[in-house]
Amino acid sequence: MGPQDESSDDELVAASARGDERAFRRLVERHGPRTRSFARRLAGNSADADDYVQEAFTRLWRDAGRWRSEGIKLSTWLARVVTNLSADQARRARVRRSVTMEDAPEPADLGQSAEAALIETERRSALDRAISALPERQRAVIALTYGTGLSNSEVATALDTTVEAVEAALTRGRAALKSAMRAQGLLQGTVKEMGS
Amino acid sequence: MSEHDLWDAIDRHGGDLAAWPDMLRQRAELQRTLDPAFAEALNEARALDALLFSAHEAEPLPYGMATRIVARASEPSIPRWLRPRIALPFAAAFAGAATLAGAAIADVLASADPELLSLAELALGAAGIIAGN
Repeated sequence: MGPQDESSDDELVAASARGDERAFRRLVERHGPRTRSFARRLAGNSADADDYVQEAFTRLWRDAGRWRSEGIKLSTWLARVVTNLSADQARRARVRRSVTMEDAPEPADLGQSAEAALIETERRSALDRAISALPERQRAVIALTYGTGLSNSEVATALDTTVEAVEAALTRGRAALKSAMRAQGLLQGTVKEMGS
Repeated sequence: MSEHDLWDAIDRHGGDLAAWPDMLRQRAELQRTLDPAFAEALNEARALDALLFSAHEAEPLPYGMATRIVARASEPSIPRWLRPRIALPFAAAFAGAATLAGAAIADVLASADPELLSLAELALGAAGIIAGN
């Protein structure tokens, strides 16, 4: 861990623009995991998601010299690029959005009882299926809200839409997910575990 | 603000009352104590929030992915305006080679000795490879 780890995104982008691959790598390490997590939610599979992440960072490297934050976080910018790539892909061909075996969550914890691990796996799989069944815009809003910690206005910037549209998508998305999980009796169990 | 608005606010703002606008939060806190169904709905919303945060936790990049991203991103790319200038000579070279090969085959067939061709035909006929006349 060098002093460069403390550098801001803007400083690292500026260094990348000068051809500093170490600075660029730091940006990849800093933003890659969340960008990939969001891309997987949008794409529904890891292969396309990895392509989106690669392309987003390639554009960042290529355009680093012209990149200006102008009040937009780098994570928001990356999310916007991934969203556009996903939309392009969807326009060219229907993206298969089923949950693959690769994407299925691992059993939670070896220390848990087999039954608890099974329930946890079932719950995660059901939630993944329910998320995959959401319309793309709702899925993107949910993924950005819960996966990146962006505010509603930042999500709106990333998706090139209004805050009102984000709030509407979030409301409908939450309602749909709650309904799907409740129908399978998987939400009540979580409530009990939370001790409410 | 109606009770209906409070129920709508659960999906709009999620299960964490701290994240609700002040006026709504105060009403919701009161409603929670008065209406067990409302309290249960809030609990479900909190549970959903917890599941969603958990489901969207970012995992570390797979081993080697950061290196691949950096390597591919920083490899020199061919400018778009240059691409036709490279592709066209390749296409022209391929077409030229195909033309020369075709001409060479035609030349060999045209200059073949008729006697040698007859002998070859006889030999192949005797061997039963081609039917004789």
